[in-house]
Amino acid sequence: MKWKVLINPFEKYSERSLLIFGSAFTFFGSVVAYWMKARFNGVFDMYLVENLRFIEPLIDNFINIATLVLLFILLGKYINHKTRWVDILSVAIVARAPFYLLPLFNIGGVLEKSLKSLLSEIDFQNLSNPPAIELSDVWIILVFSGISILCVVWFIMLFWNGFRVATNTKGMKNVILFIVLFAVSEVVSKILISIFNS
Amino acid sequence: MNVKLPVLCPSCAEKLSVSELVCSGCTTKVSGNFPLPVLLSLSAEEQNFILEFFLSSGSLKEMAKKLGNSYPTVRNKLDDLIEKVKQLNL
Repeated sequence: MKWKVLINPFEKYSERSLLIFGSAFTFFGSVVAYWMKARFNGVFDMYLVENLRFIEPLIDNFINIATLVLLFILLGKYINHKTRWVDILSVAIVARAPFYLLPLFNIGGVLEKSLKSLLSEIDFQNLSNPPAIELSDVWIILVFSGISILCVVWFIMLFWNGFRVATNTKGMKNVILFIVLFAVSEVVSKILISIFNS
Repeated sequence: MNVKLPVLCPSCAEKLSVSELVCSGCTTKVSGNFPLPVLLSLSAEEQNFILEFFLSSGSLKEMAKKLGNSYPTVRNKLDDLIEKVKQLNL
């Protein structure tokens, strides 16, 4: 079943292959983000900026991956002392790959223009005034939102499947700990990026 | 035909034991009630896994390569099997 590779490559592929592919995804994802003027200011986030330096998306991704690895190795070791760093690292860098597709929505600045045009039409002082919104802008933002949600779901599926393989976790208690730590990792990565890369 | 050794009773799911052994040379039969060894109580797939582990000199990395799986997948399989054998031994 080849589709399984898309949601759980961790059962089959060695940590070496996963690290090579994951590093390539991270590097090219950061380069594409630079071209499309996108930042990843949290484990689950992407937003567009006016100006950015080449190094910024790379540092964002480094902080996001480091946060995931540091938090989830602790949970991994708690669940199963045989959990290896290298497996958690492979999971963190491969699972984030779906996010690197999102900046492609801004080819030619399409997404940025639609967002600006939509926001400029809304009168925030008087919200009862109906804004003259372009239908094409609404469609672009709706499609982007839909695909963003799919990418988040894909990321979570990849991360959970990888974590399950790396730790051999079983039982509901560990699922709850995983969900809580996932939320914590978003907060921690946002704080770290705001301190070190803003 | 690859005949599978039944280890559980098809009627009540209790563990089966051996009641008769036959010499393939002179057909002498030995009757009694012999419990199945733990290894034979495992499924054919699990027995093959243990055999592969033995033939790979206990190297999980080697086994992962042979089976075309990742290292943690093979290690998890082994851990689950160890747990199952412990349960069977109780």
